Amino acid sequence: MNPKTSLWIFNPFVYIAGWSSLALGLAIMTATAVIGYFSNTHLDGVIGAGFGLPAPLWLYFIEAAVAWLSLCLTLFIAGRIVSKTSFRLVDLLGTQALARAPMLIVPFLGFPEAGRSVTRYLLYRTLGLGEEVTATYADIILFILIIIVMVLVVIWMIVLMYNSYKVSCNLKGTKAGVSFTLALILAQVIASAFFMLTFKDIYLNPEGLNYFLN
Amino acid sequence: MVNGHFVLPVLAKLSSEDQQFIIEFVKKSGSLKEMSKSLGFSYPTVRNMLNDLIERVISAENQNSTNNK
Repeated sequence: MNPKTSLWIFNPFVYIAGWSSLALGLAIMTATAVIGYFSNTHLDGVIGAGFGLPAPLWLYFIEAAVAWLSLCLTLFIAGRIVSKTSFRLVDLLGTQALARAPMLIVPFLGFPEAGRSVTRYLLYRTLGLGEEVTATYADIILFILIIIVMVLVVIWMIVLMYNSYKVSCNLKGTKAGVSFTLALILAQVIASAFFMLTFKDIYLNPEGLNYFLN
Repeated sequence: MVNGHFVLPVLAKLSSEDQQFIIEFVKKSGSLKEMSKSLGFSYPTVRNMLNDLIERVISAENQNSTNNK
């Protein structure tokens, strides 16, 4: 692969940061939330996604904002602690917003019914939750493909998030890797706790056992 | 031909790319935003390049002061 193409795919922040990446990142996050609304795909975690219940449009925007800002917060604190040089908050906010761009693919994976039907099938077979449903081989194959694509998208996004942190806070090597990993874990805990405490009624609705079941 | 033991000035110890960066930086009145536009890199990337260059300048200065002792 051409080194410049590879940079644009895995580290575009060498070329774009600050306000321009913030505007582009927010536009892509908005599109992701709107498509998620139509396919009932919730990005309810820093790196998480799930196919679930229909919910009001505002919830999809809140999910996107919390996922983005919780990581920005922990990375900002980590950067302040470990970076020897000063850095601009707008670079971190902008590049982290753009780093979430791969997630635009995920809501499209929520349109095929296979994602939901196989999830219901697996929950019934493994945990005895919900009603008995059958899943065809075609559904299972499609479900596996969806999972593979989702894993690749999440890996791509984590690489982008890491490179965004390195460029924005001028960090390299072990210091960057360890502080990023800790910040990512902490942000995931913060986001999950926020969602479960604030929107418990929507995610754990009494009719559906959990929101994957509907 | 001139023979002898000379301590090179700090700027001469830097690579030609570093020297070019310094020349451009001075010509742009020390504006990282202008440097970012002319180089085609983002602002934090150029600022990181400058930070790395500062480290190399400090290292060259330390080397010179050691040689002068």
